[in-house]
Amino acid sequence: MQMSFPSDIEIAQINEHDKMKNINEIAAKLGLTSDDVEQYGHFKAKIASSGIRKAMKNDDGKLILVTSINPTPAGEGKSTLAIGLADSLQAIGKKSILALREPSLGPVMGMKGGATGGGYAK
Amino acid sequence: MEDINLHFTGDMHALTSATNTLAALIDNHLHQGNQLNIDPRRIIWKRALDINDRALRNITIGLGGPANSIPRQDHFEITVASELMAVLCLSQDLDDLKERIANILIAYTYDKKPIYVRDLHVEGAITMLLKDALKPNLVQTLENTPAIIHGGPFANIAHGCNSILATKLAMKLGDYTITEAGFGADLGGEKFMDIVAPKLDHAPNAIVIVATIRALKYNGGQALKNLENEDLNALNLGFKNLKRHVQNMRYYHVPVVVAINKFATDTDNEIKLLETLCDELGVEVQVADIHHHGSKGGIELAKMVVKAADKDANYTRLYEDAQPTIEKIDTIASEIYGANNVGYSPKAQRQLQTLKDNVWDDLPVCIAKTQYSLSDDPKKLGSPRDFTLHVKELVPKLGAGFIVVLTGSILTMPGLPKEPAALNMDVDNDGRISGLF
Amino acid sequence: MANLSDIEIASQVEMDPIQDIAASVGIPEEDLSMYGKYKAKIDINNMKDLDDASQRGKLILVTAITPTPAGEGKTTVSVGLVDALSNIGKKAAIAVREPSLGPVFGIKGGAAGGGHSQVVPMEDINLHFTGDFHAIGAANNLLAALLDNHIHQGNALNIDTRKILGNVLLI
Repeated sequence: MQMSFPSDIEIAQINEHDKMKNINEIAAKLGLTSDDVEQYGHFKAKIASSGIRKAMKNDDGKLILVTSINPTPAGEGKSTLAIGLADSLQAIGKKSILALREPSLGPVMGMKGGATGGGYAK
Repeated sequence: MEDINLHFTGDMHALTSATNTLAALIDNHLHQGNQLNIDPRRIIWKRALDINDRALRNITIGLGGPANSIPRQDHFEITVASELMAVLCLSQDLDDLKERIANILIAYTYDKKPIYVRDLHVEGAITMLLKDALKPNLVQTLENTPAIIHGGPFANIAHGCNSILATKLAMKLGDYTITEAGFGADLGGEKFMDIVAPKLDHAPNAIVIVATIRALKYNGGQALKNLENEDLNALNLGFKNLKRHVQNMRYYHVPVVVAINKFATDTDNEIKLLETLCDELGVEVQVADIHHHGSKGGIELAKMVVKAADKDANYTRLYEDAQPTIEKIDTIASEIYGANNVGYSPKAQRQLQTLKDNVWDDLPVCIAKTQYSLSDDPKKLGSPRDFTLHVKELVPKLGAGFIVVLTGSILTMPGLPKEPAALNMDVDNDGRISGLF
Repeated sequence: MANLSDIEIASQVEMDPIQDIAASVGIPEEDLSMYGKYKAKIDINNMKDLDDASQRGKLILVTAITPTPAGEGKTTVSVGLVDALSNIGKKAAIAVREPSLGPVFGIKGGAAGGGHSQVVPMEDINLHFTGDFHAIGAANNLLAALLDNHIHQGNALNIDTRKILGNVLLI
């Protein structure tokens, strides 16, 4: 990538201040009230057992698995693509949601990016 | 993003503490008289740290005389490779978590009888440390799509996908849940279909295989530093890697779509060639430029995925759990990796017998293997054939409910590179972070 | 009165949302970073000048005689004292240390007070709380890993491995 592009963290920092919604609003989209989540700061929440019990009464939606070919050491952007795909589904009017892994601190300090997607798909 | 990549909601730290608390309780048991007759040379529970630290792979503990525990050789692995991480990701609720923790195999006695966490009566304490970690975490994308991020096993040294609870919950909350299996389809993909889907009781409605022009050129023999140059020949050669992954995923009878994750250096000629090759293979393909354009770059892919997910799937597993371990390994090695032979080290041969003797033979297998090749040798790129898969060790993970099969020279505690990313990271007095990608 | 354990007593108490507690000492909600409903980090950047001595209230230090291994209840007295000050109409707050996980699994037990003088949610405070100790552990061990990695990768700084001062640390 060329030097003039903003780095992932710069894109995230610019966007996060303008566009991130309070996590209660995101939970509301899913039919979860503020009692169904436990907030961690303004933008993270754990889903409480009451929220899980409530959701488990719904029907199952469709499950899409994102996998890849054998990667180079830099990774091929699976998380980026998974996130972009969820956003694109939302853009065409589908109620989409992501289920992803939490990143380990190990590789964060070593090499290969953080595991939260890159560029504008984050 | 900074939060997610750093401490997030503390789940990883809770897992690290729980793993090391269990280790401390085992060593304390030895120190306090060893009522269970545990053989200190046959303790298989390892300590954990969520840092790449090769110096901790093999250590000696308990030095300093009788006041400082029993000296023994010990090992650290990275938290994401620990069994508690797998257990957390496969648990349905706190009772299930506690039962799985109770079943974890931690050591053998001097007369080689297995010792489990339940023998130490500490499953309650360990579960308590993980009580909040079991709750899924809700965040959002830059475009405000909900994202549940929970659990983080690697796909090369563990089973490689987020928690079952997170996926189940997401499927209840959304009409389309996007989930990801780590590394290539030979690792995360196979493990999702053979280990996770049965436990989830739901196979994917569609599988998206991500390919990049650069990785295909790399698999076609081009050097890392030249991947930005157009090279139709290398792309053509490297395509056989994608072809194998497409064929592999088709074993499971779930609709497959190929997504080309576009990089700025991809040329029109290269994209056209890749589309033609996919057409010849009869697999649907779509370019996605979501890195630069967010959702706008993925609209066509989204439409294709919606269509694929509406098709009939007839999910079939690659093997049955009841098959002997050696057969299960053979099936994955030949069908998915393309090996024509599986070789076992003397240690692995002894462990195969231990699995049989203890009736642990009916569990799925979770193969730990390099992510850079379909084989166990990171240098064999493309679509290798006629190779032997080398099994060096078999580790029963009885809490998680699978047998980890270590192949090649895979390690469960990575090291840092010559120029660690940490050298560029900083934070100013206002808390603003730089250098984190 | 039956002898209830600390956690039984704590679990019978109805906690106020942490925003309400913050508001009672003049911390606005936007300066809080929530950790669930009953814990929050305070963003000190927007707070009034911490170095302005004219704005300070009075400071009381609690200490003790030489203790037994079970502890003599310093935190319990501190918590009881601050509650008593509130009770007689004073605007009072307590500032104490975060507990380590180590003693929780040994003999001393929790470190958030006891009986009817506890800081709550006591089980959270005694376990991972807001993750500060885990962050310190990770930072300490990252430094140790970077040091060993430097030596492994050729030791450009010529570090004498017999004179390394750091330790791996677990909490």
